[in-house]
Amino acid sequence: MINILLNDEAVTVAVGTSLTQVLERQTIALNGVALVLNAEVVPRSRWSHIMCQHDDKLEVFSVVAGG
Amino acid sequence: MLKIADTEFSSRLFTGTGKFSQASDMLAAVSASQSQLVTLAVKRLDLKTGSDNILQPLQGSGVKLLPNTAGARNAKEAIFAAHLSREMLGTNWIKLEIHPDPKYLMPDPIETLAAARILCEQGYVVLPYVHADPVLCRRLEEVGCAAVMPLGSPIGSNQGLVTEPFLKIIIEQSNVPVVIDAGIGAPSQATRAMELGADAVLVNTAIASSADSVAMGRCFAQAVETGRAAYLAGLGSVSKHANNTSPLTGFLNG
Repeated sequence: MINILLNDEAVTVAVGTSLTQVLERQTIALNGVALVLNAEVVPRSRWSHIMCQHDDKLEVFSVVAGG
Repeated sequence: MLKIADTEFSSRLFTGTGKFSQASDMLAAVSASQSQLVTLAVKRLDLKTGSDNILQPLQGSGVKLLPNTAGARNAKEAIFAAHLSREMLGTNWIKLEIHPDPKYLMPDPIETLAAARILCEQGYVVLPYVHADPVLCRRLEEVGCAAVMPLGSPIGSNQGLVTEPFLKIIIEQSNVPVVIDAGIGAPSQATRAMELGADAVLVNTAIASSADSVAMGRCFAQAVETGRAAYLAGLGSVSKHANNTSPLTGFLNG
């Protein structure tokens, strides 16, 4: 198991867990979110190919109402 | 019909989605306004409370989404926000807004121009929110912005078209659509903006803060249509002295 930070919260995931699987396990809908891994925006097409590494800092963004 | 980049709009009223008391009110007001372009903001997801749940109904309604870069304090942060929203929503449209000062929310022209240049090079359809500065608007057009969005008055202030003389210059000079953004507080002010020849207006607070936001959305739709029709019809010229509309001779002399 490895530890990552998901929006500043400590989360433990199995080795080989992809970014997509992190979202699925947190029941976060894939539609309408964006991912930032260690301060870099990750293209959606790469989410299922990137595996979490120990101490990764993953951030999930979504839309909110705004002008 | 209004065309921005490759997209045509039959409505010249764009709306913001912020400040409504609840999402259902926002959706109903947007629908009543007949707006086809709505702005959204991007924020880090709160894992405990979840998302706003506004995206799906908006996508279902068929309106085009215009994510903004609100919260960005400089060009670098705005570009980051644009990259985020492109991955999030699959759109290369971005409302570029950089306003580091929280009191007046005045847009930073230097950072905005720097970010616009880079985002245009990266293939974004950039709609920058700027002060009503005719020189800056030309510079933004030169770097490839698809439209310019000068302010009427400070965001959310409902002060109307305080910048009117400068908006006139921008409208006269611009080769890209001019969208009057920010400060429009009443339908009559939207009408005025359209009478001046603006291509569209963006309204949020005036609709969202109304006691009946659905009715106000409808009023703005009518106001924008009226103003556009008046612009096309051609306003009469303004004179400092009276010009009689009835014959002044012959009645008493009969």
